[in-house]
Amino acid sequence: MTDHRDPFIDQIAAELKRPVRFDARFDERVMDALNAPEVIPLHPTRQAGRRPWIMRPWTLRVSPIGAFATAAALVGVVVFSAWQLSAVDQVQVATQEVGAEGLTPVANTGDKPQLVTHQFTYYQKGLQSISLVGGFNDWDSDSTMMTEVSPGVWTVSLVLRPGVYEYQFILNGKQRVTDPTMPQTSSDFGSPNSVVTVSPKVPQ
Amino acid sequence: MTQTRGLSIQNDSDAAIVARVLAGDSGAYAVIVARYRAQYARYAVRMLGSREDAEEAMQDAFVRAYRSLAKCDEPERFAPWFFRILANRCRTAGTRRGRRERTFVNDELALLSASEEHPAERAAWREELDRALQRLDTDQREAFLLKHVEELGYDDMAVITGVGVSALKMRVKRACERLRVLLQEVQGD
Repeated sequence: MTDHRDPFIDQIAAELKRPVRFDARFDERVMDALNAPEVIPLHPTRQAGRRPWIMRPWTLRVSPIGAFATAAALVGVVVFSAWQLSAVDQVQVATQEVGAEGLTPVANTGDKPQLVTHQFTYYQKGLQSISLVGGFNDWDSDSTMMTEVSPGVWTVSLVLRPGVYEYQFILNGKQRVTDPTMPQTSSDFGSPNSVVTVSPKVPQ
Repeated sequence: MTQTRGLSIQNDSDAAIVARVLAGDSGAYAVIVARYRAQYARYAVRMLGSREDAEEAMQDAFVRAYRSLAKCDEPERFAPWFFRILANRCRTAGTRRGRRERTFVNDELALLSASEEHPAERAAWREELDRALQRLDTDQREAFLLKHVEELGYDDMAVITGVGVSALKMRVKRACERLRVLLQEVQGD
């Protein structure tokens, strides 16, 4: 496998080196594509281009028959679950917290309380700490510290009652930021909060 | 899109233009597009066998590069970084398309630039060459084009493809042997 010249191959290569021409509007189309909605605009402060796959929006394509099958399956699950529930006198619900030091365990009210584990995630490399503050912990910056599970990926899981919660992340104990993957609302203090809706889980 | 000061940055280095884009001047990216569209269009066309597929792969590569620009650790070496993205897009597009509905580059440009002495023979030869090239396995075609058309060294090819030098040499060798057989079959007809 030496690199010697081969006239036959050289002839082929010479032929393949001839220039090709793209459509005259190619450059324009590329620049238009950069501004398409699915493209995250570059911005020096947000560094959107650094978002990991886990924080990017998904595009889900479903064929009509696939959508119909999914809808049918969901209806089946709901009907089956309702039938099962009717045969159960009492639902035992675990109320212990998950992975959130300092949070007050949520009490079992006895009226079929539903508690849902919700994972919060934030991505940024080079941080020393991130704490999660929100209505669920009285905005206490010391009660819910997040864990860096892999470089730049910070998570914490909380057990919450279904409902709507506002929250923020505090980076390195100083900088308050919102969750770029979630909707925002303005807070009483003028700065925006992220909003998460914790939905009840379907009983098994 | 931010207005870019037109011709004034045409001669800027890749690193300078990348810095402009990252600073918010997205219009500066047009200079990058023009610069590397011209340089790499040939590879994409030869790899995919049709201008339309090549334009699609190139556009995809430019958009992906734009979205990942902050990850380009050596913006002064934008060209090989972009070429790696493009090679991946071509590989993916080629795999997705498989061997179905391959069209061959027998476009008007090829015909216009054919030999004046024997234009018909020349055009026929080019068509057979493109056809033979598309009959190679994707890996072999990629290695052959990088080596003999883009004239890259094996070390650079290894960086772009993520394949070891020995394996690349073997692919080039197999590609040459296969092309020889395919084209000599044609010439013998």
